[in-house]
Amino acid sequence: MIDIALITAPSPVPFSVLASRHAGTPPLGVAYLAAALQQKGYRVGIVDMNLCSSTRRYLRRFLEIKHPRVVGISSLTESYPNAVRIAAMVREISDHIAVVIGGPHVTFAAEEALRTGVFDFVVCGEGERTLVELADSLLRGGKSPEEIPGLHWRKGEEIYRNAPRTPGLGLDELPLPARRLLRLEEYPNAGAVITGRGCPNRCIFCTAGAMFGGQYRRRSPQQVAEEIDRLAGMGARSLMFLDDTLTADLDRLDRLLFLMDRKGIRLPWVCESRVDIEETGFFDRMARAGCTGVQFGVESGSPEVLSRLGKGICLDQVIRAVGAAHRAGIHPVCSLMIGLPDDTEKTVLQTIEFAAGLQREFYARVGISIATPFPGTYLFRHARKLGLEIEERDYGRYNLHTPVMRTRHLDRRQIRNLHFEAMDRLRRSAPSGMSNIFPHPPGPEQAVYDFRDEVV
Amino acid sequence: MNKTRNPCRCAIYWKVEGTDSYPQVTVYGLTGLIRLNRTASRIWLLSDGRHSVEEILRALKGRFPGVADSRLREELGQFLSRAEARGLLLRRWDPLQPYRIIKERAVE
Repeated sequence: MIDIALITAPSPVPFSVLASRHAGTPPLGVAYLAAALQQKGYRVGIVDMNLCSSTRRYLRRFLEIKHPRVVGISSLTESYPNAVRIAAMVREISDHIAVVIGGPHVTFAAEEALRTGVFDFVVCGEGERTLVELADSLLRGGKSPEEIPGLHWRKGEEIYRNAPRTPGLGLDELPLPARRLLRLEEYPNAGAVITGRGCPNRCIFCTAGAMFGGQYRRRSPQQVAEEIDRLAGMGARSLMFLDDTLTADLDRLDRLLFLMDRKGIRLPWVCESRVDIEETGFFDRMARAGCTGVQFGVESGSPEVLSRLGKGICLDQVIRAVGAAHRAGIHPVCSLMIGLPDDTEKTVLQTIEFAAGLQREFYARVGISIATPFPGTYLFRHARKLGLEIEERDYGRYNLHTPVMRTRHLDRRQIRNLHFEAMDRLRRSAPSGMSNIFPHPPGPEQAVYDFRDEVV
Repeated sequence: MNKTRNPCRCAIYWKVEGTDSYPQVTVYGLTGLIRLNRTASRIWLLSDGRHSVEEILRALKGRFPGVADSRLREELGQFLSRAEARGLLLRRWDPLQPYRIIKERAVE
């Protein structure tokens, strides 16, 4: 028996599921929630539906055997349709289970979620304190739901929106993620760590700014080093820092690397950085400390398009940072997008050429995705002003590889075809011996697929 | 729970040329580029996980009114099988369980 089951909803798209399994990081957000609940004495179980072993039948048996009184489902925009399916499954099993959903998608689409009728509560924003207070309310007769900040909820057909919760706790006050509730052996990158939350930037395509109020909150290097030490003790063979930008505060990172060294932690690690890193020479320090890969958000190869993304970077900075990482012996990974509001066919081709250049000059592994207006982003909220027409409302398609909107200059078919051209160009121009970020090797063009005959 | 099991594309890099009436799809497959003919292209475009085999069949009937149902069904089945064998799509896609399970674990 458990009090609360936490479930991560998987993407409903085959490629995304495969990509997620390939990335293979455990759901730390859910593990943080579980730890906060355990700290208050609740019995918690986690089912990560992204895992191969978490089948539909497994989930049903888990719920029937464990009898949770509250089920919390975590979802992104893409996995939201599956969150609805899971909630419907819970409803089939028992009407007496309170169903809660949280995550960045429903934070900005709470009412829509409640209107489906399968969710009772939506936890908006950072979830630890809100979920604990809700558990207290439902299971221990604590304060009533209307008194819990950050909660949207439903009573019959009526929907109630409580005031937002302001982040109050310092991150060091949160208990470490409850990794013991996860099957870490099933994750290729089990050594995932979060050292901070939020992002100070306001890129128009990202929800982080709106989700965390433009704040970047950091954990102390001492606590992070302690967590990493425990992870190493649990058998982690590498580390992956999941922060939006680990290098935003180089003094803190320097201190963390020093502490890791002092504890004798010699694990290889990867992270994300921004190209406007204060000091590109710091990549040498990172490489000496075990950094093997850094991901950069490059976004566009067109200076004009890039300047309108609210990211505040320029192409010179890209070349400088990616080059410095490469020279330091770190594998750069660059992510770019096409189908942005001001993109034309010409600027997309510029982006593709720029990406091919990064691949050629710095052996960067390059990924080009399709700009997607996730709820909560500036793109979504100001779509009309930006000349965007969102034509696809099935959130399962919001996977960065499916065009869901047309822009002033490009329709969805054009965006799809340019995405294809980007892939083709990058594969054909990859330096020999280099594997691209995409799994398939380039091959010769094959003959027309024989569907017998056009006449049928 | 609603268990939809419709054909669904796995490949994400593909382009569409031609017109809406006569689309021509090229897919980046596991072994390289695969160019579909127009009928296969039409099936590809409908294999989005939302359309059932029966719905795709109906669409094909509209395109080829003089062709026997059995022939259309056989052709469709063959295309889906061959495309699945090439890793391009899943014939019976379940959005909550898109890939065959290697090993199901027991509830502890």
